[in-house]
Amino acid sequence: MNYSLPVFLLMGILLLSPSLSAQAEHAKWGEVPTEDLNMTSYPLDTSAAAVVLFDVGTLEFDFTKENTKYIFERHKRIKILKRAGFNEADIALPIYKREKLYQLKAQIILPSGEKIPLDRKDFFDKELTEKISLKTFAFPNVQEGAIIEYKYTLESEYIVSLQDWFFQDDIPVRWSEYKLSIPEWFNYVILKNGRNFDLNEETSNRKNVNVNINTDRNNPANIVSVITLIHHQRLAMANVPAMKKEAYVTTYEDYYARVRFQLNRVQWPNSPAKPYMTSWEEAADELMKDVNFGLQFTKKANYSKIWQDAAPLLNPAATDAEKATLLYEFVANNMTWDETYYIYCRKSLNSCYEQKKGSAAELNLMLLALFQEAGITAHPALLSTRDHGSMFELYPFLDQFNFVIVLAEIAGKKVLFDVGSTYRPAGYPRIPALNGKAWKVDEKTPEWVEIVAPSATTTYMFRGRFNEDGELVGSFKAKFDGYDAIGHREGLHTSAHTDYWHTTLAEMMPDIRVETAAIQNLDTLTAPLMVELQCNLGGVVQATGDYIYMSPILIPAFGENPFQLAERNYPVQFPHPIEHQFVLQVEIPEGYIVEELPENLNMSLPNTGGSFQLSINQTGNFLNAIYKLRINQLTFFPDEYGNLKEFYNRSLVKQTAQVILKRT
Amino acid sequence: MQTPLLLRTRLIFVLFSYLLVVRCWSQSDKMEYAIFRVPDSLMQDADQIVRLDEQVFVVKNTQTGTLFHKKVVTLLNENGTENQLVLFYDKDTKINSLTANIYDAVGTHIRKIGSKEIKDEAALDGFSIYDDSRVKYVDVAYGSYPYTVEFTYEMTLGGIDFAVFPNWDIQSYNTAVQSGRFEINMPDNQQFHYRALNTNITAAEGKPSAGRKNWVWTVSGLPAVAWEPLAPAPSSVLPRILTSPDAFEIGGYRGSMASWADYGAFIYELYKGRDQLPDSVKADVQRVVAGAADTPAKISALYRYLQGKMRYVSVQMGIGGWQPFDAQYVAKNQYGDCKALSNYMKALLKEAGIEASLVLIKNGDLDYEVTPDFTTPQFNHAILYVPESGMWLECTSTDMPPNYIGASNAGRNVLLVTPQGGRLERTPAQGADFNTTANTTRIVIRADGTSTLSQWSRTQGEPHDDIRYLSKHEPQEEHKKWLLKSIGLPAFQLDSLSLAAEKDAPTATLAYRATLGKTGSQTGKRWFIPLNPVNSFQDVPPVQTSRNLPVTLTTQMSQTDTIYLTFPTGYSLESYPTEPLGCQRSFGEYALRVVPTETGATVYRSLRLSAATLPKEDYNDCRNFFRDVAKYDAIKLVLKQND
Repeated sequence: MNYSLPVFLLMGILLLSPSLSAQAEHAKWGEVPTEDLNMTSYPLDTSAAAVVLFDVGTLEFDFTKENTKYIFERHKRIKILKRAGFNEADIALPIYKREKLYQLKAQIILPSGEKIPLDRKDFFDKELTEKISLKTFAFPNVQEGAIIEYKYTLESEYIVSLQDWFFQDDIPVRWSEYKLSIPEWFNYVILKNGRNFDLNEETSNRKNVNVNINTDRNNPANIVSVITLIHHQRLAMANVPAMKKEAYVTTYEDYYARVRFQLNRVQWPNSPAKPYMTSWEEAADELMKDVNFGLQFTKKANYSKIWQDAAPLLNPAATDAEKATLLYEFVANNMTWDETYYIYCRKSLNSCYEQKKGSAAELNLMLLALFQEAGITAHPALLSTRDHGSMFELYPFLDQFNFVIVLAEIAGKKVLFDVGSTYRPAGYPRIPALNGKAWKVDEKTPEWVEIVAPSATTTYMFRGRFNEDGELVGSFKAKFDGYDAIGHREGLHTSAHTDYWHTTLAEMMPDIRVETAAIQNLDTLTAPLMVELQCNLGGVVQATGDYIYMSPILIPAFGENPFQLAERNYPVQFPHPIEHQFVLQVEIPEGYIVEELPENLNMSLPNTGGSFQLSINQTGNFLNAIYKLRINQLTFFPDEYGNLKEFYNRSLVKQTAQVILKRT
Repeated sequence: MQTPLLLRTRLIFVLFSYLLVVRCWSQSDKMEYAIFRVPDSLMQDADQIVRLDEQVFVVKNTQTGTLFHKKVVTLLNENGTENQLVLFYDKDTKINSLTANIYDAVGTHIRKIGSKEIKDEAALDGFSIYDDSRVKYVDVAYGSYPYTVEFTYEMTLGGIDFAVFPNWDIQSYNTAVQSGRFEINMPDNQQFHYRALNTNITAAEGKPSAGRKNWVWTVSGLPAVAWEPLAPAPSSVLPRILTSPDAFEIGGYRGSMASWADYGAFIYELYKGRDQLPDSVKADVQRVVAGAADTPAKISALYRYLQGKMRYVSVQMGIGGWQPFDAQYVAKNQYGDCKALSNYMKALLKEAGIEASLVLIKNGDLDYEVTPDFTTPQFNHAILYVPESGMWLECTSTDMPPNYIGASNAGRNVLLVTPQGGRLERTPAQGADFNTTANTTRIVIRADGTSTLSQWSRTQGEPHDDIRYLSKHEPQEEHKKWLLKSIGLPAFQLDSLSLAAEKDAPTATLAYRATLGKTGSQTGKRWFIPLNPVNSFQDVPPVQTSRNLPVTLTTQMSQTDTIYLTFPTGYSLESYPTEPLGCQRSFGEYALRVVPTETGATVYRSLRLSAATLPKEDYNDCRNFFRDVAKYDAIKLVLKQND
């Protein structure tokens, strides 16, 4: 049989230098080279508070038990260089149900060479939840210059996805190596993130493997020895720098150098190959037959109670769009999201409905069931949320998903539905779900669909004049659409309307007094939220001597530049397009003339990625200002970062420009 | 007020929709939970209404008692929090039963919460590597407001939980109480102590059965108290009943909360004999103190010795919540938690012939502060006090100067544990004159709009704490991020940065140089330069049309700023505050002065804030003070290009 690792995913540069191999040789318990013991700073990163000297894992299989297991051994050694690295000496190892951790050893090697091993009673077990527990320990006598090392064996039944391996850490890693020995019976797909391997060796040999061929648990094991081909994969990285964190990155999971494994195919001797990961079509077919997925919304017994309550609300003459909105609001108003993501249902949709609470999957599949009953064409679509990482299209690898959304076809158009909040309108998935694409679960025509993020738009218009005390008074008319309306709707539901606007606007105008607030469409999610406020804006103008100075852009899109770093290593990712507009019309007070106005400016980012407009002028005895900022492009790569930063800087300077009025 | 109005419309809608449906009451429905049974007066300012709160603590002996609690709360909107129940337990305290039910607006039983929805997890505090306490919690959610949750549980309290005794927190902010009852029931031969806070309700004493006596407090129809900006801590406004046992017993140790002296004596017993140092450490102590001239010098030398060796690791087990690991264990592992490290430091001092006392303290924000006349162990931390030299030692810090315990321990009542028992002491306060920041800033603006900024700051007390921590524990990269976050300058390039903490004094310095892309804004011939770009005050509380609560100000600090501005050539000052500006109140003082110079201007600014409690009438005046400070700090100097 042909063992085929998808090497195109492993575009590592093979670097088999003698020094790399030499480093790996030191991985023996307690044998510490003098130069490591004497190291006072890590030459490749002198600011490092600690460095992983090596982290070596090996994984092989055990077929002698009732269930096939993998045995994972790990040995990690860390050098503590500074006090800031002392917390590296507090260790917590997660252990899942159906896993066993044993042969745990740990010791600290002091700069003097003295070794202090940890005792069995220094290791603690802490059950976190039913599914996961922690093995925790803290090294004694931690000091600058000390080396800590620990070693353990983990036995696990999770052979579908093997132990992940991170080559990178928050501190630098000198050597990280993962060795896997996999019999030809199993074929895995390797998913790799981050930098390239420094070493990627594949060898194979024939070997006797003991296998329990008895499948009846009532009988004793029947072990036979089978000669089979074992593939050995050795993956390593050397001198991996510490992970640096920056703002506006969706998730670091995507950037840490690491590998994941997913079972692709199983072929036992003298048996046909059984694909584990098949095609996207078969994956969709299996999902549709799954009692915790497809059957929940295809078998009426699972959702009958919900339909019973929802059906009478539907007007048979209504359009699909009207029906969809009604059903969306029905689920949103009746159900509370329990703050969890998952792609399968944990209980039946009917019982979720009784409890008025469910996961994101349960809520969305509930909506899907209602859509199908109402005759609206709709499918579930799976995706990975922004903090959960990006998606691979090559293999039907379901573990990459953590979220289900509803993809409906309404009047020939694809519309996404995601229930979970009473303030978010239909067609607006929650922000974490805006991760570019989703996979439509359809056994006949599964496909990747693009998620086009709807935008967020805000418009403020201020009309006013100066009162007797020289304060600006007038009214704001504001309109919020899309994502920008959600937060305001929530705020208006939980506090008094004038208080809410006061708090919101006082961030820009600390002395503002909001006298009245009239709100339209507060509960009509399909329409933009409209607000009209009567205000006194004490303090926004500076009047000295014969002059009045004011910055007319009272409510700009942002207050300070979020992009302060000189350069970036990772892309900047906006969840959705942004549009912010501010318009002002103020009557020039009697006895004053316009002395000076800022120059108008129009600028845009390359490829219409964003635009900025400011124009201020005088018409009769009115001062008029228009300010518009748009961001259309969602991902800015590190080479575009300079432009983006400069765009924000210039906008920031321009939006604070002043108008000067002079007494005649 | 718009919220109640809004609520009522929603309510009418709910009731109306119910009337349309002919429905039968089932036995599990509870009409008494219907929302229309709540008087209007209780709806005002309420996010939730406690319909019924019944707690009975039946004391069995000096070791255990059973707590029965039934609480029914109607949630009116998303701000309500009492749809959650969190119960901690461990090997001494058991949860015998726990049920939860949900009812809708008219009292129809929606469902009973299933056992799967009651989470049972390890109680992680985020810093312990081991802790045997566990937590059960239920988070009930129901799609539409208002709805009612009913929690009923029974717990057997033992160990520490018995010694602490249940308290009755009658009300939280924005919560009305329709009916409440709290009972302590105990054998005739046992005693307890209680204290009512912010309420004048008294206990009815009775004899419920032979050999037993009880105390019962009841409340009804308490309207909600609305939270307001700068509101006092709940314990100084809202009603509470605090209780403490007289005699109790934990793990073979007997104690009493009759007085601070008794309670301190109990703690003293827990620590007794746990101060045996290994011979090698004894030798270290003698070596370390050998050169020291006097007692304070010896204390400092030993404190530095402790800091050099130890690190903080928390391991909490059983009585370990209160009893420390002994000195031998700490010496062997070179780590410990606050109790273990304080106990170890005490042992080091004892070896050098210096007596020190353990101190129990509530670290961080204070809600309730302990008082001499009522004993209740509201502490979460331990430090050390050396009476002979009046020195306080925070033993979990690896870099603080001796006798500096940080703002989070400062100025509060604490329990001193002495061989004669316990007594209250007060840690030194860090007032406005102690928490100081002095900034000297130079800004040179070039004709192209860019400028260089250099700042040098000297901090003492609270503002120094962050700088000390960063300089000792975080890499350079984090120093930069911290600075970027703490100053609000537009677009600047950091050219240099150094943070340094004084080894033996609670002071630290910060120095940096930066290049600013654009300073201020330009319109035609005019240039607007913020006079205080680095340190402007922005925290103005909102206007309130009516105020019900006193005003609590907790910030204590003083700042002085000297800002030297150099203007680009060809520009001169058109407008600036020619007169000194300022404002002054009992709790604060602000002054600003701008002096033009040959090449620019110099800004002198000072702000001083003290902790204070003001009557509610002073709220708007207090707000006006902060508004004026923000306004003055935001003034822009106007430069005009010379013709």
